[in-house]
Amino acid sequence: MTETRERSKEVQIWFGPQHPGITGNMSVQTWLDGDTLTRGITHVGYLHRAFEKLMERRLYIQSFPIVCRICVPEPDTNEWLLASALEELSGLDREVPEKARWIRTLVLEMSRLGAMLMVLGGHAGSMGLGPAPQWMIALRDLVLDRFEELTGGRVYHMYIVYGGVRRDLPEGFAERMEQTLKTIESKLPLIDDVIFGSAVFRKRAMGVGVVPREWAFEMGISGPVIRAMGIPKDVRKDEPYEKYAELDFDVVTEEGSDIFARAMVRRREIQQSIDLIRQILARMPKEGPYCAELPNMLEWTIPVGQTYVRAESSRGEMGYYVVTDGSKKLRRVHVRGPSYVHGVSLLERLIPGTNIADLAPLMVSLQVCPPEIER
Amino acid sequence: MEFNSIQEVLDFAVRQEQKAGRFYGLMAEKSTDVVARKFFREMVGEERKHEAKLKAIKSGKLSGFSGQGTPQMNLTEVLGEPVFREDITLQEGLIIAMRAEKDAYEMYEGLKAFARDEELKKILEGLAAEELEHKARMESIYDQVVQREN
Amino acid sequence: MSLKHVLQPFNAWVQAFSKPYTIPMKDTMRPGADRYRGWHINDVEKCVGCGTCADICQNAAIDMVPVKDPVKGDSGLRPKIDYGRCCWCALCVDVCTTGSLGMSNEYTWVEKDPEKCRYTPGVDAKPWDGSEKGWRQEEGFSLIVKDRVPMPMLDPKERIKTWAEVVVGYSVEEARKEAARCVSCGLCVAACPAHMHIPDYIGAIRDGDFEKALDFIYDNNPMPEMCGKVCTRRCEGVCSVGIQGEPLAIRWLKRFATEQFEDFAKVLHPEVKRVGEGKKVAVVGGGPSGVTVAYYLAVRGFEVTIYEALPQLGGATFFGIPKYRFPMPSLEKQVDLLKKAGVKIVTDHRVEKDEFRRLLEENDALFFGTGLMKPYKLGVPGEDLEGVIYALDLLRDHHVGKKVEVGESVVVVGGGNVAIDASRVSRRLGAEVTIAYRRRREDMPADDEEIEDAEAEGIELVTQSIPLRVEKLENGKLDFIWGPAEMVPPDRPGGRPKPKLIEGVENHLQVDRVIVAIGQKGEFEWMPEEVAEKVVTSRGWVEVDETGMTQWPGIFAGGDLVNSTADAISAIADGLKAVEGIQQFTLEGLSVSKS
Ligand SMILES: Cc1cc2nc3c(=O)[nH]c(=O)nc-3n(C[C@H](O)[C@H](O)[C@H](O)COP(=O)(O)OP(=O)(O)OC[C@H]3O[C@@H](n4cnc5c(N)ncnc54)[C@H](O)[C@@H]3O)c2cc1C
Ligand code: SF4
Ligand code: SF4
Repeated sequence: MTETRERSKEVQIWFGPQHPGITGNMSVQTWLDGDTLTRGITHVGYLHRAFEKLMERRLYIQSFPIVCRICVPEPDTNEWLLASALEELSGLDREVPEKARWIRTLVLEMSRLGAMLMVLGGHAGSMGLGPAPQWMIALRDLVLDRFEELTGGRVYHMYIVYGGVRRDLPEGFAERMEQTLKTIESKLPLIDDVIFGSAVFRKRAMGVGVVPREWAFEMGISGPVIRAMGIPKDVRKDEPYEKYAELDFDVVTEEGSDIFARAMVRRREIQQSIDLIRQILARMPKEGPYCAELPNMLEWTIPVGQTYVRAESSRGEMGYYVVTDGSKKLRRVHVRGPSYVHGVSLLERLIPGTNIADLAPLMVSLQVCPPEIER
Repeated sequence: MEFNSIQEVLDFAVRQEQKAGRFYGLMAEKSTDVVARKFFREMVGEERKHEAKLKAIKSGKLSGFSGQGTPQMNLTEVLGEPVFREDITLQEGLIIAMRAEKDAYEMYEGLKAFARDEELKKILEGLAAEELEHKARMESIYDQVVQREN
Repeated sequence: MSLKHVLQPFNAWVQAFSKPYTIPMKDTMRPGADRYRGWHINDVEKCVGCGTCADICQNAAIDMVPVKDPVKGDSGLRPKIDYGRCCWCALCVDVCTTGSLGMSNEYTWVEKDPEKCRYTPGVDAKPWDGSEKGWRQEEGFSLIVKDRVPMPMLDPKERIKTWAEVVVGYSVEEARKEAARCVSCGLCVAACPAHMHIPDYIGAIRDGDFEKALDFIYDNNPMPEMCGKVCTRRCEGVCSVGIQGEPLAIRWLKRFATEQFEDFAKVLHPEVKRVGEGKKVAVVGGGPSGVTVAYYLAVRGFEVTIYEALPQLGGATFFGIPKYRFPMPSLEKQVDLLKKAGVKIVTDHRVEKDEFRRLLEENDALFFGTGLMKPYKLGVPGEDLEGVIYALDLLRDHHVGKKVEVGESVVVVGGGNVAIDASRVSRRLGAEVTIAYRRRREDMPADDEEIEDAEAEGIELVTQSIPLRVEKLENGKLDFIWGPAEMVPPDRPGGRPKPKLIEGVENHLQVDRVIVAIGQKGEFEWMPEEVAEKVVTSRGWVEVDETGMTQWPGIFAGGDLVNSTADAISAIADGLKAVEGIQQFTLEGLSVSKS
């Protein structure tokens, strides 16, 4: 009896899939008591394109243009992970030229920068702070301009390929990149003012969406979410790949583990990426090949093997588990994205007790990316 | 030799072609080599075609000669002077034909000196050019058939 | 929460008075970056329709559509792109074998008719056709392998001391690596006179299945080890990988596959119906065309006897081609299979007129592929002098084991394979060799690699030289006198440019032998007049119809006598044609007519 009465007080609301506050095409089925969420179930599948399965039916080279689509704002991590996994399994990794390694590191940082500019805008947008998201998207667009001239595409770059990268840096790239970085830097104080300096943001972000520290390792939390707990976990430092070991940077951490702390980690990592890009461009070799000599890509076979490779995306640890069987096609790819942990398991756990108005800011702060959940 | 009219010149030329035709015909009859025999027979047909062309010019059906300008290779000048034997080969037959065309050319060239007027001279020039063309064509066949690898 | 945090956000208003840094509309209309991946363009003259772009496209956005008639080396197809599927990855551009395909930096296009969003770049005119910018292939990145696995060869200085095979052959690793370069476009199949299953056997070699490779190879070539060593490889000339890089070593790969087996009979699995049981066919001439007819008819159940004037089958590949290119054991291996297939082989037996008539009576069909056994003469004065010899005679005498001598120095006249072979044989017999050729080096009918090999062996090449006459000198040597030539254009399109003697200049060359190799001709003395009269042309060739049959019903012919290309694989192709022709002719119940 009590049970039914309790239940009847609950209101069920679907948040998404058609909601501007949702981070991409997914939905959360929620139950409310007043304006407090009591329960939430995530639903994904709205943009399932079966990437992992598709790749089992494609030549290796044909899988290359597929993986970027696993994350729209930050495709390059996927390109790098597939490339490095297959290079490791085929032995091609020994032939990746020095210059390619530098260019790859550059591209990975550029993509982190572009993604974080966007998410920080999202932080503000999800709380109704209008102008900031527009500026952030505009700044991100400047990064995309550089991507366009480097890779031939603005959003899907299809640039980090097995053996290296697809093209050399264009003439004068470093100068134009510096100009872009300067422009972004010049706008950051204003961003600080309108986001971190805003009473609204501070009020709604501080102490909200707190992830208990005990969950960190038990749930496999990573990226800005774990670093906002004060835990300095970053694949770029923990298991450096490409040129990260040679670069000078510290892992950014914040305390509080709330939305504010996570936004602040991102804000500081924007600066970190800018610094890293400068270091990379300064140290990049001017001459030399940018890609290994590839075998005939239409007939490339890779011996039997399996591996797990990982990288630090703006959202946290991305990993690819890859199995090859000696044929011309992948046997299995499993994409381990941070969004599955953050956007499904963690989100569902955080929802009870959260105010409905905070659900969107919470999801942004966890940087949930649905295509990465439903590979 | 003197020509009084274009008609006379053309009649002479027709007789020359007929003579040549009979010459090839005779060789075709006598040859034992099947290829040479067939070649000479073909040449009889060629000469008949030339004859017909000359007659057409004479009767005004054709306005003049129209050489294709086959390039000269000066092969005839280099090759020896085979004579007819019963077992003559295609190669020798071709050389004989080349030489005959060259002789005819030289004859018309020589006759030019005796031409009374410009018009006659022009027709003789035309005839000479025609024979030169035939020679070049023979050389071209020789080049394609005999010297396939040279 | 301090007042500061309430006021600070109002800084945003400051922006209202500054220049906007969101991107204005006019900026978004700018052209794409220099290497933007926009709408495709294709230089359709350069494109050969290999279809590699369509193969690599993971979206199946590319259809190969016919835009013109196919020719050797061009399928006549061109890529048509469906922009409802294209994901702009540009893999098609990067893999394009010719580099013809590119992408412009144009990215906006408004079209009402969705059908138009499938177009054939370069064929369907588009505003961006001439675009200089956009994604193109670049040095330093290639999805295919342009360099060939080099073939190990004996050192030139060493090899002229022996008759050992010059080409060493690929190891298993080398062969599989080379085979893996193939893009399977199949342009080679169309160019091969016998239409061998090239991408299939290359694929089998790549996968390490050499038996399967041999099966593919033997499907339409009964002398593959010969072709693997000496073929004129028209296939390699059209190989799409060879357009920007080096063509696949198709010939060497075939050679590799055949060299893996000692006894072909043990590994071949021919799938054939024995339709010809009870039918008898005579084959005159044991060259490649005759061998082809004999083998494929025999496996189909025909009773075949092959008659050869020389002690061994193989024709010119036996008596002409030197052993350092095509050793005896290789030939014997192939002849051995012929025997095992049930072909009766009669060697040292020249068919003459009467026997020919009898064979016509006794058989259901007759094939002759008697080749070009006689040399053409130089035709210049002095040719009858002692010391002027013919390459064909020299090679044949040498190969049937007669003793031959060429003295200390020779000049070989000609530029075909026969000339090169005579030169390299003379070199191995110890002579200094000069080749005198009438045209330019690039006009030489001999294989490029052969010419290079000859030069590496110290043979000198004098081009544009026209023999004038030969004279005997007091010291017993011959004076080879030649004049220089200038080149004049060919008289028909596609013909060879012609050398024209520059009169008045004479050059002299003192030699022991003048070896003539200007061309070869057929010989018909053995043939009954009534047959010769019907089948031979005024140029000394034999004419056949599309089934390989001559004007005389039941008599088929092929090989050098018939085709204009005069190489082994064309002879084999003629043989294959005649096999079908003979099967059709004999199974339709017609017997050889004596008309
Ligand atoms: C020196 C030389 C080098 C060559 N090099 C190459 C090369 O590198 N690559 C290539 O592809 N091709 C090469 N060729 C050409 C190639 O060998 C020929 O195209 C090919 O052999 C032609 O085959 P066929 O079937 O016409 O007969 P052929 O090979 O010409 O053989 C004809 C056979 O018929 C026999 N015969 C003739 N009359 C009679 C008769 N009445 N009774 C019985 N038997 C008779 C002859 O003895 C001869 O064995 C070369 C040829 C020569 C001469
Ligand atoms: S760009 Fe990519 S998707 Fe488009 S046609 Fe080329 S290969 Fe196919
Ligand atoms: S790969 Fe290049 S050459 Fe081949 S069909 Fe495509 S566009 Fe033409």
